[in-house]
Amino acid sequence: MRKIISLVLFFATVVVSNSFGAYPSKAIKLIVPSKAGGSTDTTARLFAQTAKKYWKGAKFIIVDKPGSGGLMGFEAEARSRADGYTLGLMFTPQIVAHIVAKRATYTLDSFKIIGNVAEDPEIVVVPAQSSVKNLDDLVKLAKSKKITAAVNGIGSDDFLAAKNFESATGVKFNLMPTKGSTEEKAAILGNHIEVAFMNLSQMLAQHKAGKARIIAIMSKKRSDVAMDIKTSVEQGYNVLMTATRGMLINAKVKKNIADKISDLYSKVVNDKEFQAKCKKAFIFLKPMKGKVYRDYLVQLQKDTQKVYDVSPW
Amino acid sequence: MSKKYIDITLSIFFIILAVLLYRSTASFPKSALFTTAVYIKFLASMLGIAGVIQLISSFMSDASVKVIFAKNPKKFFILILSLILYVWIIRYLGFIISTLIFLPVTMRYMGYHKFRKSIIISAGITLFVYVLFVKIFEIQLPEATILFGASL
Amino acid sequence: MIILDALHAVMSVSVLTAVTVGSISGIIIGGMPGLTATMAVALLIPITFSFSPLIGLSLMGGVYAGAMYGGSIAAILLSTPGTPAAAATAIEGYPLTKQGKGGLALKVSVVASFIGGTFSVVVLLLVSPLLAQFALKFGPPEYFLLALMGLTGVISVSTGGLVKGIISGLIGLIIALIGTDAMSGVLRYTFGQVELYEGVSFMPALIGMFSIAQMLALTSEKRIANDDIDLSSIKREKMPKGMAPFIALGTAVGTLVGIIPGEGATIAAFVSYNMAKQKSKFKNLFGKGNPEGIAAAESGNNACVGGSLVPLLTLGIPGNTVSAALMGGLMIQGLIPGPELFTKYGQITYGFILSLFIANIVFLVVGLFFAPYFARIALIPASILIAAISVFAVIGSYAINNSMFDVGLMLTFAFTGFFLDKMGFSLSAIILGMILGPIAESGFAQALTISGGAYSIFFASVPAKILWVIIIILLVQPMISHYRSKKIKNTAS
Repeated sequence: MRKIISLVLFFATVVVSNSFGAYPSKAIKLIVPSKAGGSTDTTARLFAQTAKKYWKGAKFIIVDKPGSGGLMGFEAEARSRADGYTLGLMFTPQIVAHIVAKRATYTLDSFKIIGNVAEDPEIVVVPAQSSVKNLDDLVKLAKSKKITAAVNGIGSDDFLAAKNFESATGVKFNLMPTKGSTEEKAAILGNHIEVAFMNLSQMLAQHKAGKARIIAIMSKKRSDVAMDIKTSVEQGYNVLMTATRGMLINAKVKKNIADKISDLYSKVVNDKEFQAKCKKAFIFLKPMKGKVYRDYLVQLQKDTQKVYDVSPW
Repeated sequence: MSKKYIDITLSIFFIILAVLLYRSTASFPKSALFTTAVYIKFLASMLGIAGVIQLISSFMSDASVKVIFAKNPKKFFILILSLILYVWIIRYLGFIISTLIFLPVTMRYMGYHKFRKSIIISAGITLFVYVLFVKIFEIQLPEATILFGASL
Repeated sequence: MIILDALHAVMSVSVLTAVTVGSISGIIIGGMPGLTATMAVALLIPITFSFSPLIGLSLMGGVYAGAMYGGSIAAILLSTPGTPAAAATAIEGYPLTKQGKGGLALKVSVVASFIGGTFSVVVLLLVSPLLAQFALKFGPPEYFLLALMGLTGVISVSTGGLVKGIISGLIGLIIALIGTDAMSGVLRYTFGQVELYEGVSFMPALIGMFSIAQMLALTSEKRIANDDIDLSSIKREKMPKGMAPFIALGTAVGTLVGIIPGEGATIAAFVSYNMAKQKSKFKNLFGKGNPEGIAAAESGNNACVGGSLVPLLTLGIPGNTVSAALMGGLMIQGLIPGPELFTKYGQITYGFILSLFIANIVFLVVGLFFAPYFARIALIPASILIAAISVFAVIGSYAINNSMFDVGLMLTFAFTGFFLDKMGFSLSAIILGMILGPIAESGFAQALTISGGAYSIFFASVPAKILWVIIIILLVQPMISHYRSKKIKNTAS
């Protein structure tokens, strides 16, 4: 009998110390809604590595939950226990696209948005052999004949960018969805298609080596890493798109713990070593605090809804 | 069990599947009609043809041919059952506790009667998995939700 | 000479240690279902910041080469392929283990892997830029034909009759339809399950149908090895003669297929296996334990390692998930794929390529040394083995996507797979269909998108025409030999 009592007491202490001990008292999970070895995964691993500098003794475990354009991971994040021991990575526009397409069981209110970490602007890229040098050329070519444009999956940033570009210019592409950016890359480098909508990090090296030509970057400002690429706005096309990668936690996490996590986030994104490593890994940092980033997501959801209403998927 | 009748049943199942698959493409959106829908229709037609050929040859086959699914049905069904139970209790007890139960019990029913040795082997395997997956590869094993509540 | 400089750099204690550690861990990772080389490389990326580039890369390269070989060990001994590329190896390897010839199968596999792996690295070292141009010739129509070429393997793996083999292949292709329609984004055949939106993942299917289905069959045995074999002979198996042409075949196929981005290693293994069967004098031994099949499949999948690095290093196109993760590792070291890798950063790039040679040597030595000991697994009582393999199968199917749904999927595949196998359907054909289905479908659909619905695109390019010739040969040849063997039977009776 005494043994049983001591056992019960033991478990009670474990449970109690788990819920009332100083945060963090056990390993923190970092859910990555994509494959190991990918860009989001690397961002998470670098974040965890740097976070250990500020939270001495804390342990982070990366849990990759890939599949369905991040949906599997986002759902897991929404279902996670609200004790602050599960942080989630997220990326746009997929996180809101799933809500818009009615695939998701979560909404933006399921999460407390910690902040954005990085971004990867959308680009328009053509084969090196192509006669197309800028967006005007592209529109001209697309009006003269049916041309094939590759996008990485339906409902992705590439897809939305292509759709927005279509409605802004009145052209109509032969949209060719691919599984992953590798297929887009191979199709452009092999001159099998006329144009692809991709992210900057995916084609930057090939552009610099002269194996493909990026004709526009879909943002207001040129990118520090490739100052030669003109923006879409400069060329007179007001079509903007970017992929952001941020962090979130369950909305029900207690405020004092959420604040600690927000504080950690700020420290990490401002860490010089973290910044240097990200630069090397082609991760373009773009910190945005929770409130600002949340507003951005809400607006993005509205914009995505507009595209969905015209051409649902 | 007679192989002939199972073969006939399976062939009919494949033919029905082929018909359903073929008809399902009718509801596809326009953007898929000339691409993936054609591919699916092709697969469905092939399955339908192969199913019919199989059906005919099954009808002509000898009804006396039997299939023996398990030479040792007792062990066979115990393993199926214990696998299902194992996966079911992992959801509640987590990986480590479930495995420590599953291993010695299954070994016992599969015919290993040295109790103490089986416990040592079970503990060894569990420890090996724990070290390799959790300590080295930092993979989260299924947790005991009964103790700590749902997580993933 | 830049290559000599590189050689000098590789011959340092730290690099050699890194390669050895990488290769040996690779063997363990490859042999254990659920652990993948991709995971290992992802884990290494943040750590390699603190290493010199060459050490980090040779560690990752070692893991990649070691894992490709390691997949064959458990495939042969336990019919548990650690990687899909080792599935073809299991078809011949496991029957050999049952006959008490596991040691022989392991030796053939390690030698074939070594030769395939080494040759492809030679190719990578000498003619990368040239081959990269070849890789770029492959567009969507050619991917479709490549998948079709792989699917001709269904004929070779179907043992219970051709019609049932074809049905099995179709079942695989149809299972691969489940998920999101690639062209329109709508969900099809998912029955409202979020876990199925991405499609049925094939690792759980593979583990279920190969591994657990075999454990169910093992319930009626005392151990894997048959009772009537001479147990003491397991340790003294010599390398069988006549393997050279099959290794050469697999090496050639693997190197070429590996260069083309996609699920290269699996296609290469099955295509090599298929060709070996057509070529062999002992066709009737295939499926019952023919070392020729192992020689072709293993040289085929290991030859992909070098091949897949060609488009990665020259163009920045990763051929598979491992090389995608490797690309992350390269970029972190400031090594951006492209021509500069072979000039400005030549010492590191060539050093990395040379380290792959050493990785191959490491797994050859390890494999040959341990083969007789590994082979003794066949003597462990079935009661212990069944329980232990079940645990590895469960954790293996869980760990790929951290998903309990996949574990349930694994069991479903195991039970239905066992039933279908008893009824004469081919589980290998189902797996082949599941792996090649998505490649075939997206190649088909993308090609028709480009051509605006015109089927002439599948016959337009030179590679397409060559592929058609190969496909027709692979289809016609087995039919002729089938016809011949029937004729011989008729005249005999």
